[in-house]
Amino acid sequence: MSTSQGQSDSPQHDLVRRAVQGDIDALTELLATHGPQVEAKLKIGRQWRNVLEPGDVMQVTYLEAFMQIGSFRPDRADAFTAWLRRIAENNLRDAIRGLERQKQPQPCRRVEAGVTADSFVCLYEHLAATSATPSRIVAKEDTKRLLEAAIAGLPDDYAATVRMYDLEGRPIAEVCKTMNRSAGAVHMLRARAHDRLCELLGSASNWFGSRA
Amino acid sequence: MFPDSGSSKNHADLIAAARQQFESARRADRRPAGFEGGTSDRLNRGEHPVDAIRGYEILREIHRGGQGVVYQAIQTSTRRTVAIKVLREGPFAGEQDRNRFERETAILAQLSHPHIVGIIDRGVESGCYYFIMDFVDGASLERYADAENLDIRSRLRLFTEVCEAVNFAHLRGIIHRDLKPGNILIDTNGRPRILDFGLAKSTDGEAASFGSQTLTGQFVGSLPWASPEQVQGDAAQIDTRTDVYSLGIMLYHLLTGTFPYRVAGSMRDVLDNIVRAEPPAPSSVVGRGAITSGSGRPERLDRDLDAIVLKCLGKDREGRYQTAGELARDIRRYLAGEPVEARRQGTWYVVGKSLKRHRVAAAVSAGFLVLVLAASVVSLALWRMAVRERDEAVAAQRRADLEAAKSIQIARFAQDMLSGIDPATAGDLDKRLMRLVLDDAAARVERELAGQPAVEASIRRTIGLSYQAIGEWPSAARQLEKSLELFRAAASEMDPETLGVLNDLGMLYKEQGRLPDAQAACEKAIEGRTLLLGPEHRDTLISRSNLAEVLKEQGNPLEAEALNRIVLEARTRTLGPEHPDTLTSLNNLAIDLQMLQRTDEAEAILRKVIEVESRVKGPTHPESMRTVNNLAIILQYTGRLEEAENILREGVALRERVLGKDHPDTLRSLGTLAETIRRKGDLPEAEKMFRHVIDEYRRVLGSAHPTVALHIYTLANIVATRGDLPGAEPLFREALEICRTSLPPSHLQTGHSKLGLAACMLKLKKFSEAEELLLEVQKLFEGNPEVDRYWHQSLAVCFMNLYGDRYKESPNNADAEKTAYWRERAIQLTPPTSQPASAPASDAGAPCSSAPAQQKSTA
Repeated sequence: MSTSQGQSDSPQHDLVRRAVQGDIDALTELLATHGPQVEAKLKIGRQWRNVLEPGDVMQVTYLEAFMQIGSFRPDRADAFTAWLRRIAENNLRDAIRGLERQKQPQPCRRVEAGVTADSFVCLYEHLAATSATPSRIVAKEDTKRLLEAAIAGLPDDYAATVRMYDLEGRPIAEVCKTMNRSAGAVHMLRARAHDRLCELLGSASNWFGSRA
Repeated sequence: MFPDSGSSKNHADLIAAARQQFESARRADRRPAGFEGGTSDRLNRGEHPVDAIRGYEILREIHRGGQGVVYQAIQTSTRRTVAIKVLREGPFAGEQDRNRFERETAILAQLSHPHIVGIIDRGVESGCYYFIMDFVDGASLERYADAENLDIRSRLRLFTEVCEAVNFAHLRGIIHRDLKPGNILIDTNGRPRILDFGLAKSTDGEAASFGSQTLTGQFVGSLPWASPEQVQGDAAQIDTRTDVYSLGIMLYHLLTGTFPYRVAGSMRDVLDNIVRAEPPAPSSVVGRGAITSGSGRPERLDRDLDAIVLKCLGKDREGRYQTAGELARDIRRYLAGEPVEARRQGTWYVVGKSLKRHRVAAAVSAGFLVLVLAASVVSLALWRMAVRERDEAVAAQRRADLEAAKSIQIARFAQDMLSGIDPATAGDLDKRLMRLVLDDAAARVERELAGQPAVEASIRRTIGLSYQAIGEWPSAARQLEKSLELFRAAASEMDPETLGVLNDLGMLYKEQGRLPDAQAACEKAIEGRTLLLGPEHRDTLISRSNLAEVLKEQGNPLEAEALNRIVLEARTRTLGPEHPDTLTSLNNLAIDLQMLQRTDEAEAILRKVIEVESRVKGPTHPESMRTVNNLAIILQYTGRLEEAENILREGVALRERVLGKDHPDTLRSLGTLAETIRRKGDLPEAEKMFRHVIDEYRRVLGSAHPTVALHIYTLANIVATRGDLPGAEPLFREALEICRTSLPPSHLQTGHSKLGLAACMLKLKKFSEAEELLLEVQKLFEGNPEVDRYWHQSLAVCFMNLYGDRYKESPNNADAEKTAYWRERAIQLTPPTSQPASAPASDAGAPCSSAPAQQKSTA
């Protein structure tokens, strides 16, 4: 029997297979090959170009690629590029969404300045809104402890964004300045940080439940 | 830290920095004991709480929540992607967790709706409770709306679909209690799907076992979407309007990008806002450019939308839409440019809205409007004069009241007289005489009660029900529909009488095979009765039980079973175990179980019901006779033909005497008897009986009724079995055509008819039509848990014979391979030990379908 797919033995496929299995060098090589193509196709509207550059998007995209590669399931020859492009487009969309909303006053989405147990509860509720995780019975102190633990498991930039913007309630301009990042990049980092927190909190509810 | 942004050239630096952050986060094991890693970590370690579930190949963990773990998996038999929710603690789960999990399963089983994630199967594997759901690949509501850049109207249309799905749950007594964008996914086809009923409350007796909120900060639900009654912790106040409130918050956010009040900050402030803060109008908080139209222009919200959103967010439940259905209807009105209910109070608003809708007509009518306004001035003067005559009018009113009271007395008397028409109370009186009396009564109502709509409505209802009782369905429909129209005009949509007639019509439509109409009528009756009388009022339970029967008739026995069990539990608790309504529920449940091939359970229930019913209702009560007939069907199904025949012959005689020879119930008994005779092998006698029953059914039900189709199908099988294939073909075609026009496309009876016609075509060597039909049947049967092994085997045999015969006529490799495949498949499916499991419908009488194909020797 002959195979008709033609990709099973290619070096590209081998790299993808190794990357999915956790070979970081293989993934690094793949990103170096495909990243520039993905960046070239990113379309950033003129009105956002002074607060968001393609490089901002690719920074977060690469980090996400390292974090998500375990769940990547190649199903066709160009699957890796398509997968990476989806991550990049997702990041770009979240950045623009954040920038658009930044133009409007949105007190409701923010927690008060200063970190309190309530800040954690509110962040937790906000995260629950974007995942299917029901809040269930949540005690303030448990929430705080859990979120702190979850944030500690994030990449540094994600953690810093959440701490400064969500928990300490600092203005976006201050967060950008402190992190030396563009506003678009901060919004992107925050969106991805929230995704990761949702995942971690999902598993954390295991720990929750035993105490509830 | 990453290098400074701004350079897109040095990808190597960016990748290296990303890698460094990733490795740093991975190395840092800063999580407390028991805090598991993220999804991919766990996946890479290959850890699953449950190693395997038979029939499914687990791909990955999707989500881990407080109650369960959800996996993406492949159903090996169909290769379709599904989601499996496994009880988190696995075999170590406590009783309370298991009960809660089972409750969620039961709730989902009731909710077969295209916009609610559907349950496919349930079970226990190695002590782990699990259920299988549709896999939804999609984004949350808001994320989808933003990503697709939906304009306001598209958002509203999508939101309406969500409301309708929530309303569907409400009609079944289910309150979600945790509605939020994250629990509403939009699939790749743009269809919303509601998820996670883990916190749902059933209004059927299940007290809100989890409090809503406590002073220590405990809370059930999701705070930003919570209603005032939720956060105040009064479980008794949680009802459908709680979900309406959450929908309102979602709609507010979907349109404005903000919450209606501050939901961040100290817990005390947030709770205070939810309970007290009056939300600003959405149009006042939307900045320019929040949502853009298709042309890229920013859209603005108007006062109608403000009114709709704010009506959902009333602090007092009475001020909100009472159901999600009302909300959906108002949004649809808005989309159609009609006046919205939320602003109904203002007459000028309604006039203005109508003028806006009909600009051209409005211009023409402007002169008329002036006349109307002038007339209003005149009316005002006349009203002032009328005030002076008020005292005289009061006296006149008193006289009118007396007359009305007298009319009501007369109406009651007439109703009492007419109620004798019901065979349930009339025993074995002559039914022709009853019909004459009813015809006369109907004609007199027309002439004599024209000026008294309330009385006319009431009498027409009685006449309609009486016609229904003697099987005169078209006349019954005419009377009940007119009664409904009069009640609606004289009282309101929410009047108990109006709802009562709606319920009656639901059942009548079911008998007539008008299933979508029946479902709509039942759902409206449930909606109204739940709000007006409460979820466990006897009348509400009757409507819910009726809905279950309609669902069963539409080919959803699983859903019907779940609903019937809820009604049975409520009736046993509130009315007692021997109440006639409770016995009806038991009978209905037995039929569900029979359809689900749980024959032993069904038989045990029916024998118990017969014993109690003959004591409580009497042996000639139509419902008692119905239960006996259902037992006969089970006996026939399990091959106890002699016993079945004896019961049926007795039953036919009794029904002929009590109900009349052409009553649909009598015909059901006769049809079941004909099928028993067929199974006993006396084909000529069976054929004669079937032809008679079909003729009678055509006269009574009309030719397009599914029951007629079922009997024609069985007759076609008899004709085919005696070798008259040209005679059988038109019968099969007619049966299929009726199914196509009167049943949902997925109904199994349609599949059976197709299979019968395919077998006939095969024998007539019309291979290509046979193949086309068989492929359609295959699609219909695939993954359907209600299709038993017998029908799968019949399908396999038909395929095997098709390809085998075609190969004999024109040998080719493809047909040879297909023949071998289907032969193997047919052998794998052990031959049935009993007759096919397409159990007849309730009371059901109708014959069990016969075998569509005989297995040939190997090709």
